[in-house]
Amino acid sequence: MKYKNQLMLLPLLLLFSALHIKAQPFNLDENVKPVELKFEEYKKEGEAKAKGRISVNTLTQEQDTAYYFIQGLNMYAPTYFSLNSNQPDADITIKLCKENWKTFHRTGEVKGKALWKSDFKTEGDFGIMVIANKKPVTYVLMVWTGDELKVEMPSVFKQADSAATSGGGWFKKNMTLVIVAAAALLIISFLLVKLKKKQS
Amino acid sequence: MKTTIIDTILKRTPLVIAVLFLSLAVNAQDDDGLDIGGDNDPAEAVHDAYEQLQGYLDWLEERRNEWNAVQNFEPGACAPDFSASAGAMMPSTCAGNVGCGECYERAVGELNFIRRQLGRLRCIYNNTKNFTEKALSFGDNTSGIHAVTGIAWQNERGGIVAEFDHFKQTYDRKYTDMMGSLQRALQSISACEQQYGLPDWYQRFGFMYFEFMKDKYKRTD
Repeated sequence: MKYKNQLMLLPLLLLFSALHIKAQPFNLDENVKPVELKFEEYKKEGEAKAKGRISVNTLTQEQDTAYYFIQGLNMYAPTYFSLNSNQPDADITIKLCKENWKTFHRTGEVKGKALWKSDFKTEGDFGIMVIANKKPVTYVLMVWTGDELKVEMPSVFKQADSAATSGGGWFKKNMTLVIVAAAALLIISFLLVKLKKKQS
Repeated sequence: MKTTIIDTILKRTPLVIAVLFLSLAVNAQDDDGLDIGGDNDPAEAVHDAYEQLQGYLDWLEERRNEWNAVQNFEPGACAPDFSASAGAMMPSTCAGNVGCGECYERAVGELNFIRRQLGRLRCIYNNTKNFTEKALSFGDNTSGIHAVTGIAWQNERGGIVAEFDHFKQTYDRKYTDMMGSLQRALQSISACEQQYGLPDWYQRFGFMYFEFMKDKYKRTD
């Protein structure tokens, strides 16, 4: 039953694929030609937490700066990025961008046999700028993104009071007042009738 | 004759030693290269990367339910607003009622799923709007430097504006679809309440929440 419900909601999940108009940080420089990194399914037997998509790329860079981007990210899912080299003389600067290639949201360095990593959540895509201070250099660039995490949401429900439950709420709430008023009315009418009789 | 052989050996010994040294030096240089299986083995670097990823997955496992524990990529990133005004809050007798627990849980699960996706839809819209505005401002500021760039930018600018207009239409279509899904989820809750708790729940309470959500996520620009 749960599976059936998820299938019914599948079109809702798919609709987001059509919603992104941007695919990489914006630029007007024709020399900047970012390469798209592709995700593939990733799972490890017995490890539900690893389930997601991964992009592992062994790259050799001969130019000063290389530009990459990756898309298909979900703001409710965690994303992990790493870049490492096994070359003792590696000297790399990494800049992660979003809107354009001039604004960096995360930066790191890999000097020698080292690894730089960063994790975050974001929607859509992000850009990766790799600056090789010594060329050529070979490195491994990895991006992993998982399934949606559980998002805590405030409840939109309140406890139903007796009025809402019964439907005829006003009378029940003010029953004592109504009885007292009715009794007072009866007494007043009785006294009025008696007074009239006396006068006649 | 004997002297000649000894002389030859003595003469060639330095040459043999030189060849041996050269061979050793070449082998040592190979070790610094990118040989598979050597110190700089890319496969080893891949292995290291996977090992570090595993460390992150372990960290994440401890925070499986903590979406808030994961940082935003950029400061000021859109955060979905799941709150509802006090007037839009809906009474429910099913919450905490064992009888309608299963029925209610499923329906509320659907409702929360739609709420989450609506939050995401709004964030995508805000991000795209933000991206478009920044791109236009970036282009407007940099294109004035050169006349040729200026003309090229005007074409590019028109494309960006047209693309965003198209995106707005897409948003409106998705919004309509999601409102339909929201209404169905609320009617599922109403069916549970009808059976176990409050009669006419959708007409009395669900409808007000639906109208609240319709207003909240309607595009106004």
